[in-house]
Amino acid sequence: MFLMPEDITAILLTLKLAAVSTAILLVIGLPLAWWLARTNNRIKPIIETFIALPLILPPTVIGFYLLLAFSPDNWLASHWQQWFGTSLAFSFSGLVIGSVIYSLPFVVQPMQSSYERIPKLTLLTAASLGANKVDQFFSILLPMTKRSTIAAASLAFAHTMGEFGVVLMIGGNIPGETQVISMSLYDHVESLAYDRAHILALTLLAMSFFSLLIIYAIDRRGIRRHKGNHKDSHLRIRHAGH
Amino acid sequence: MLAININETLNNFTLQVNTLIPTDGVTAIFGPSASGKSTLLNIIAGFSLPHKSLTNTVSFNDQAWLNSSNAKSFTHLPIHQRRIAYVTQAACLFSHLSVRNNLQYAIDRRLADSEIDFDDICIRLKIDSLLDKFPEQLSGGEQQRVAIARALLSAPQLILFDEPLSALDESHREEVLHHLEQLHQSFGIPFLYVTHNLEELMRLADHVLLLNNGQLVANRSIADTLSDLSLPLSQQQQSGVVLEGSVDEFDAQYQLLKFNLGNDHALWVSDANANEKPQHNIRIRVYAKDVSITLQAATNTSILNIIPVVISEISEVKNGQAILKLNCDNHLLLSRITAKSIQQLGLVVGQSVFAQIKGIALLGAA
Repeated sequence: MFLMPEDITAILLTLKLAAVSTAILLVIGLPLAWWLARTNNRIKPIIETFIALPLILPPTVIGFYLLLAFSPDNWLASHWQQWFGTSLAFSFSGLVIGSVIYSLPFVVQPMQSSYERIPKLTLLTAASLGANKVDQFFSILLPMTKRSTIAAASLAFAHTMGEFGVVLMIGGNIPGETQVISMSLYDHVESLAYDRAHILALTLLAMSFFSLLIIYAIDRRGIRRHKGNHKDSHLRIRHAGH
Repeated sequence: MLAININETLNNFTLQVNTLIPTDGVTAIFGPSASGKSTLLNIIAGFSLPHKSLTNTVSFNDQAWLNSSNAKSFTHLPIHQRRIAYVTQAACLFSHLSVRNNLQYAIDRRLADSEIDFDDICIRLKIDSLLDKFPEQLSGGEQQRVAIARALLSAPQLILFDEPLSALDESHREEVLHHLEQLHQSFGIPFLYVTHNLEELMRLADHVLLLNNGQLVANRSIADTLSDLSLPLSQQQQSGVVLEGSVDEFDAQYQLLKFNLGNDHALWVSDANANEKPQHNIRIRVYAKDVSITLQAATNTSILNIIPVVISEISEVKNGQAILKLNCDNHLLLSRITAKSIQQLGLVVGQSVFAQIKGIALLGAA
């Protein structure tokens, strides 16, 4: 039993998709989480609701709306086509956008509660010592929530690796472009190639297992080291709801 | 000068303070709990924003920090540009940084050149052996000393203290208070110090803003504030005065300092730690309960300090107690005696009598 070349392509593509999505999730998600942790803005509950939606919606619903958004007669998709010369639907970029939306709550929610646990006075003290907002983020917030950040990133990575519904709707099944492990697996099962399905399923299982193991190992170490008065408290993996 | 005009309303509480605060030495903001002390400090620091619709202005040496005098032009200088440092009850050290890096954090973000030196500060605050530890490994007193060192090292133009000793136990309180006394006026950085503790007020303050229920009651020097019989401070059990002045001589045999009151009058102050005459001015405290009155100077008494005074004011307290305000060469003392004694001795305002002072505490450098 060996991995066939197209299966290896699917695995590499899945890892690439998870890595790129996770990087973008951190860039967007951490500032968003900080803003949500500090703001009293009236639109905060609306933003929070939008971010949490992927937790309860069937992925196919997100995929369906993304598919509409990516259709060439949509302004977003047509501008994308103009700027980058490629279509969003059935492309790797489209998959990344889908994954980011789909995994956003897995970064924003734990990080928001992590940031909320940092005393306001700690940041005000930093400000009084001359740190502006960006400086505060990098010199105080990020190092104080290092473990939560790694855990959130691992969770986003693992969650992106396992996605199926969104990919099914917007990705199609193009080898090397949009054919991720879960899609390949589905194909193998459809064509009754159970041996190959087994190998892929086992690969995804192993990768997910180790991603989660990292999170729980970090979590455990954090609890042991900080015994109670920890600011960067352990992260709870929320039930994804589907 | 720190010029403030605050008119802030928060849930049925109105804070109204319109005054000038000197920017040298230690100005204490003193008052009972919920008198608005911390609210005032937070508005000055920029930690809390007052309502934009009310007139609120704060300016430090002509630099506008806050101006909401009209709704159209709202000025609020960002905290990180104010060159202030803030020391709170909880030391607020950065838990992910060592003591050394906590201090370096402040130095790295200085907005002006300063001669305040890392090693000097560490030695003065006795934290030089703690530099490689992390905040969670320090005692409360050590944390607070590091926080004070960090505040000084940021080379601020004003340091704000919000009851910095209130979370410490008695021994650590004394240790940190001692350091604050020593730092008093050392670097020419003004302190704005919120407290409700009379002991801290007497030992640290040069100037007092007295608040009660959100209203400014008085803004005066420490000596005037403590000795004013119309203010609530003189009515307290631990009321008293502080005096500042020079030392004329040192009696090595009995470990006594001769505190100059002018016009040939002096007070002998015991100082167990001295071995020579101090060069700088000192501050002493005399509790009202330690001062009694005689009509003639007694000679056969163990009391060392008996000085001629004039009674300048008499105020009945309660439960048969009275407070006298005494004047000796423009130095003011308080004396707490019974109303019955006043009647028996026939004491009246303007009368010349003798004050017997049973105890004098040496507080530190003035």
